[in-house]
Amino acid sequence: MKLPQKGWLLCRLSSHGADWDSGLVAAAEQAYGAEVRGGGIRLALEELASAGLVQRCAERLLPGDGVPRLSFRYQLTAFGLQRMRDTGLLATLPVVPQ
Amino acid sequence: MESQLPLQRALARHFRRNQRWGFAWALWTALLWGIWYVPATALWSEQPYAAIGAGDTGLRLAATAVMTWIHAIAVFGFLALWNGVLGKLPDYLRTLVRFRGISRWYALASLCGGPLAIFGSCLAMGFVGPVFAAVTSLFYPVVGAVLARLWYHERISGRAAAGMCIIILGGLAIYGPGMFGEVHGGHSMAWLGYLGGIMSAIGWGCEGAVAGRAMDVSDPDVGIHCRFSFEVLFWGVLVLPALGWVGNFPVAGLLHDSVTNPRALLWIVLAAVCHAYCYTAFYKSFSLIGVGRGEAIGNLYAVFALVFIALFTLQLPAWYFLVGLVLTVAGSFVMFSEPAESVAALRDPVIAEGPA
Repeated sequence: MKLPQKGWLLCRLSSHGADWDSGLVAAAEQAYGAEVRGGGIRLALEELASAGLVQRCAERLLPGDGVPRLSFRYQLTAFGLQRMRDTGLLATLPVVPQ
Repeated sequence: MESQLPLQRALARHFRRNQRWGFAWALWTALLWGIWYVPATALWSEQPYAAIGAGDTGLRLAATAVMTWIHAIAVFGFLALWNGVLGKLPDYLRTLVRFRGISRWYALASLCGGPLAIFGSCLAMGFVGPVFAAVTSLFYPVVGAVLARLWYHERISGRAAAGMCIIILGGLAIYGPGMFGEVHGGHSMAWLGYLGGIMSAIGWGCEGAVAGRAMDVSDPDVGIHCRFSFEVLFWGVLVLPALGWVGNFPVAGLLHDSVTNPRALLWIVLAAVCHAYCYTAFYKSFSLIGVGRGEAIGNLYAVFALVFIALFTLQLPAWYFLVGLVLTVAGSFVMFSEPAESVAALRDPVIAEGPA
């Protein structure tokens, strides 16, 4: 069975290292198909960052439809790795689609 | 330096938007929770509950358990609708089955918020009165904030703590004077109501902290759905059978009479739709502004409960309602005035920073 999407994001960052939100959204769409909404993945990343499981290690402005869009690069924190241990997510690595 | 300004402005806007969404969700929690008190109290005036004598403690307790279970089933249904529309049902199932790692926390949150808090609130309403029930629940943010701080180092800023205290004072100003009439109203088993009040404060406070722990690795919409899944199981598989077979209470009869009385069912459905989306907003606020702030703003239910009860009973609140209203609004502004960047980091830096 696939992982819950937030757990999948943590595993992805753990196995592949830091990535921009656009890269993580693209990977999630590949893994979960039509179930994924880009806004939902970005919100999940924001929640993970607020809770300290990931941190925003870089930000940039991307051209959008008239208004530039903010984009973040995320990486897993030590606390996030601890939470992955606590919740058994580490045991599921490296079953993360390329 | 100049080229950094648009980025800095975008960052500031981003954090402010997250802060506004978090407080908006918490405000929706308060509004829907306040409305919930109307059908939840009105249900006690319908059969089979109205026929239960005030002195028949055992039967009232059994009836409270029955109404809580039917209410939980209805809430579960509305949450399934919400997650179905959002396409989150597959994620719900994936989260639910990961019991050891994730969903056991929602099971614990369910015990705190269900048998402990909702049941306690029903006891307080039934054995003392709705005003007393609302007052005792006011202290739940203190429980939640302290537990979240001690357990997983949620940051509670001085401003957040001050705002929380002012909001609680506001709730006390709204309900405190009116509570004395209920407390001295003379129900012989009123101690059950007092116990219920304490249970509700501890239960809802703990629920927020426990659910916040689970939402580290799961979606809030999915999380609240898991939480009510367990509540339906706890009441239906454990509590009601125990009451029926061991306690010999007419559980099946109460169930039948509840679901075949259209007016009772209507109040249950109305209470459930308020409760389902109140809780959805509640859990969503935790992820954005933390358990302490989310629960504190949620305390504004005190204002909304009184407003809606007044609208339905056509009894204007007393003058001290205005004092309480000013205090609760002031407390909310104190909390909202905290810099958005400060709100964005919910955990202590020593815990949260540093790559893996």
